[in-house]
Amino acid sequence: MTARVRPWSRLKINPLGLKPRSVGSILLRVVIVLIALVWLLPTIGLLITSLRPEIDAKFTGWWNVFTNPNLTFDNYAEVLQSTRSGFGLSRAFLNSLAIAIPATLIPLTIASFAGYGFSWMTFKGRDKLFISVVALVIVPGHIALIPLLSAFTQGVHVGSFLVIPPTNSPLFNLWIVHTAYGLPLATYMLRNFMASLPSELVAAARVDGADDPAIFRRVVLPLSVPAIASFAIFQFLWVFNDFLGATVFIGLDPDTSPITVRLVDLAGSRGEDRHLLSAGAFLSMALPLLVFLSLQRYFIRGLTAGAVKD
Amino acid sequence: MGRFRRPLVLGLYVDCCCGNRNKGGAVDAVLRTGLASLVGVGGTLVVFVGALWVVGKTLPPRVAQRVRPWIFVGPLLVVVTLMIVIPAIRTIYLSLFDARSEFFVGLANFRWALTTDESLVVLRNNIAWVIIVASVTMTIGMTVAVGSELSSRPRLVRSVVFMPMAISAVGASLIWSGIYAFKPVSVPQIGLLNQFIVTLGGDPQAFFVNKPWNNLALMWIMIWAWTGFSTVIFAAALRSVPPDHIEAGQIDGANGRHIFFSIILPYIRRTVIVVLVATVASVLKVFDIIRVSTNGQFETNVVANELINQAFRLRDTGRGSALAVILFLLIVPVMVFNAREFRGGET
Repeated sequence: MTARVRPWSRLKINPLGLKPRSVGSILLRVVIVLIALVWLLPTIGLLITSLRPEIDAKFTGWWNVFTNPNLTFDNYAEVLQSTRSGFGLSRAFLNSLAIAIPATLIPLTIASFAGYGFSWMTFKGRDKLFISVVALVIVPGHIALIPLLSAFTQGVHVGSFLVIPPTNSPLFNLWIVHTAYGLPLATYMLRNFMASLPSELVAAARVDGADDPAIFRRVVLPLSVPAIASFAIFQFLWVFNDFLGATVFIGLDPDTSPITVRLVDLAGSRGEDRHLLSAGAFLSMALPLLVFLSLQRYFIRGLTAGAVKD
Repeated sequence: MGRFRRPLVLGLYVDCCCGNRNKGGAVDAVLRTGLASLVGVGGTLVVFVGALWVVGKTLPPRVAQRVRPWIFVGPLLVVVTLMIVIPAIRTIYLSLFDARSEFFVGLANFRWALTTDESLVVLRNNIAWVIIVASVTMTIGMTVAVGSELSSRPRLVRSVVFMPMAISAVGASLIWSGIYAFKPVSVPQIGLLNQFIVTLGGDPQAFFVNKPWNNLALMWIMIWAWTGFSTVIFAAALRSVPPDHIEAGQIDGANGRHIFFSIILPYIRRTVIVVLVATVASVLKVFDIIRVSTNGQFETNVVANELINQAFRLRDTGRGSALAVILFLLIVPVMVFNAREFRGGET
């Protein structure tokens, strides 16, 4: 892991040889500040727009708030309501959770078992199977959309014989799709983490007479929490923010469609209601941002594992 | 229809707790969300624990030992085979048939996708996206990574650029359509960018409409969203360069540029390649940004958006599948490369 390594500034090394007051050093600093501004301002603009009254938001730019401070939470109240004028986003938000929580925990469960199987159990073709699963990591979900949707809605036929009946449950369909497309990465991350655990621990448990299910549950799983957390954050953010899968497999059904799908629909039909759209957009970002900011360490650890050699 | 012909008991429960019952109530919705989660996750656990229990109880220990690995990895293999491998093969097969999958048409769908004027624009856009987005995100990413390493608050600098990674592409597109907003010159501008232009004495621009620059406006949204990815990985890679390598270079009298390009960059080469591969793969799949901002109008269409358009709006399964196969073929070289990198990481 990279946590033990400290940044250049802390190590007092200066690889680029920039002197503190040199042109290069000042230029780099100016560029960084400019980039930071470009990265922050749009989100701040959205937040301010979402807090302005309808007339202000529609006819003047959000920067006018500094000369004409006039803020309200009405937009948020309105988008959360499910009346005809409101956006009904509270329901959409819950739908997003109903999709994202199982679509995170199910692949996590499957990949934890598989990760143990691929690292601590021996069977024929183990490494070849593992490599094949990992190779699927980059197969785009797009390639399977058409056959999967038809299988979910019409079942699978061989000749005129129905082999797999249709499911009729959009929520279940989306869970299993996200599960499948999250699994290659999950298996890769968990297997590599579990394989790096000290083998003496597992050997000692075996000597004590523990079988594989017991070793998995009592030794390997508790020690794998960091890797589990990394993947859980990845997958949760991915599914919660997903639009493609939701629009294909759920669409605009108000009982199940998640917040991203509702927002895209509203951006098309109510694009002029900028004050409401920005409130809705900010609402959809609040939870991912919170998860991300509080668990950033795990997220970054997951990202850099494998990409950076120690 | 088919209400009692479900493939899995799980599907039945899902329908009961969160299916088509049309109830309002926030409590009801929360309850249903919780129940659905419990059923989905509980069902998965029951499969594993149940199978292990049955094997442990019924089979002699030595046979159980042999069977158990397949309980651990079996569900994974079944799910990825049924949901990834078989549908992918099926799509390749469907791409050789007509719109309603009735008549074999050979490579006609591919001829359509690779020769007609409107689809050539789509391919052109995808190639431009890959080149521009990948090079700009990696350049800015490296700049911020180096800058943050040299600053006294490295984590703060990186967090700012990394923050959009948590935001959906839909959210990012809505954020930037606020910045790009266009009003006629006679009324106040509500988009920051046009306000700048007007303040400097220019005419306001419709950034999503003006060809071909509108493509750059869309690409910028992805650049904004993705730069944090390369920043964070590059920063970790920079730290992995042993300080004595750098000091040795400095003692030899190499200047900053030399040290960066001849010592640091070669050392983190593998990381740069991994970032490039991951970025290219996700740029090729870009869809949400286009869908929200222009829906492919004004010559901004890309393969993934046209795929959805053909497959689900125009109901042309053949053309939709052909586009999916093309997207897959564009990613295959990247995949082969990636597999090799993964295997390299094993040894």
